[in-house]
Amino acid sequence: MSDKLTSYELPIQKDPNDSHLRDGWHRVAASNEIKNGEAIQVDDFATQLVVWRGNDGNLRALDLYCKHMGAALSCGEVDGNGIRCPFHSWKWNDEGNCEDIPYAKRIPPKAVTRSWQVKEESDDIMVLLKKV
Amino acid sequence: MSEQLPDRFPRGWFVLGHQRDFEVETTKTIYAFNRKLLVTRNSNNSISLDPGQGESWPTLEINQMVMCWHDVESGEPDYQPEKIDACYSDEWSDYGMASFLVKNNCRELIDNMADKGHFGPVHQAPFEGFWNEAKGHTYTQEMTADSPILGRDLFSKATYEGPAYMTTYMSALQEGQKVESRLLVSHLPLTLTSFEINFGVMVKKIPGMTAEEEHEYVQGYIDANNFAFGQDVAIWENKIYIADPVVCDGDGPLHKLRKWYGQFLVNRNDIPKGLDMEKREF
Repeated sequence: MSDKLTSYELPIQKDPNDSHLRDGWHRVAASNEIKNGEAIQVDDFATQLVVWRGNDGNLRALDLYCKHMGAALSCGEVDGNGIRCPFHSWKWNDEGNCEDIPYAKRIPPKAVTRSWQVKEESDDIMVLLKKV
Repeated sequence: MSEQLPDRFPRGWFVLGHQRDFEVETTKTIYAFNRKLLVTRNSNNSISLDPGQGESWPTLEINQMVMCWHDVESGEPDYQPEKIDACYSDEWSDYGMASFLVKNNCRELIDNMADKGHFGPVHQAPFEGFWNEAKGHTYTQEMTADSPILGRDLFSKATYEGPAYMTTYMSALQEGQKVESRLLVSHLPLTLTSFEINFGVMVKKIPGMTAEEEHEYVQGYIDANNFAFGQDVAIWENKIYIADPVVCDGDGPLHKLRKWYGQFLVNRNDIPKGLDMEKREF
């Protein structure tokens, strides 16, 4: 038996281009799993996602981990139609742009993350994979 | 620093525990640095440490803590934590200790020193002034705040001495009374993806307080700080490490801080120059 201690695997944001999934729509959840103003973490897509339903009832999806300091956006809060990171409250919109940083004068132009197309079809939530 | 995990545990002094937890003629097993450490308090009250693998590591007892020196190059210690008078004074309580495990690399803990932006959202504790300074093996954060949760006229000064030993002096007004406290935030890496935080609180005794009241007072402080750590841990356990974060004008000197920390993750001959930073407000 080894004397070494057990190591935990840490979370990663997988490269979707390395996924075995094919291009096209993939089911990630059932419609009733995300109510208005709620967000979930998706681990079984080509990469990790946050999928949320804005106050207008529409679904949106981004890479799970915040491009600022790496926290999981699914642990944050839906604010209007955007989502706020739990770590520093950066607010992201459905296009992957940072819209608000409560403690900054200016939003850095590089504050952009990857967004994903989402649709609802017969009570399923689907996300579009398009590898590059 | 890259997104990859560091290839080693940092060089420096690490707290193994509070002195009172090492009893004479007793050996304690402590899991750290991906190995088993045997720590013995000898009959003459000295401490010996067997880190296994035929190695011998220096130990130190200071500020109520038993510490060990970890260095993959097996070099002698090149600094020593400063003595804190309060740790030897009857006017202060002893450290009350708490510990918990975090499933991530220990470098995550360091970011807090420069992470001005997280105090509001994570701890509901907005602050007024925020300063950082890097000098040799030390990194210091000063902060002032006026918060209904933490207290009025709050002042705190936190200093890392090396990569894993941080002490804080804090003063605040609570119900018109000046409250002075000292925190210890130390950690021991277990593996490259887990570490244990050993955390301590001591308070300056308030004249007229009974031993029982004092105990309750210290425990209240421990509970409050444990709660604050819980808020951090929830974030740390589901995050990725962004090696080159996009920062905004309201963020502290994160890049500077990480470069300072990087000195403990390379051989001494490879430590870059220019890691110091004069005290600056952010």
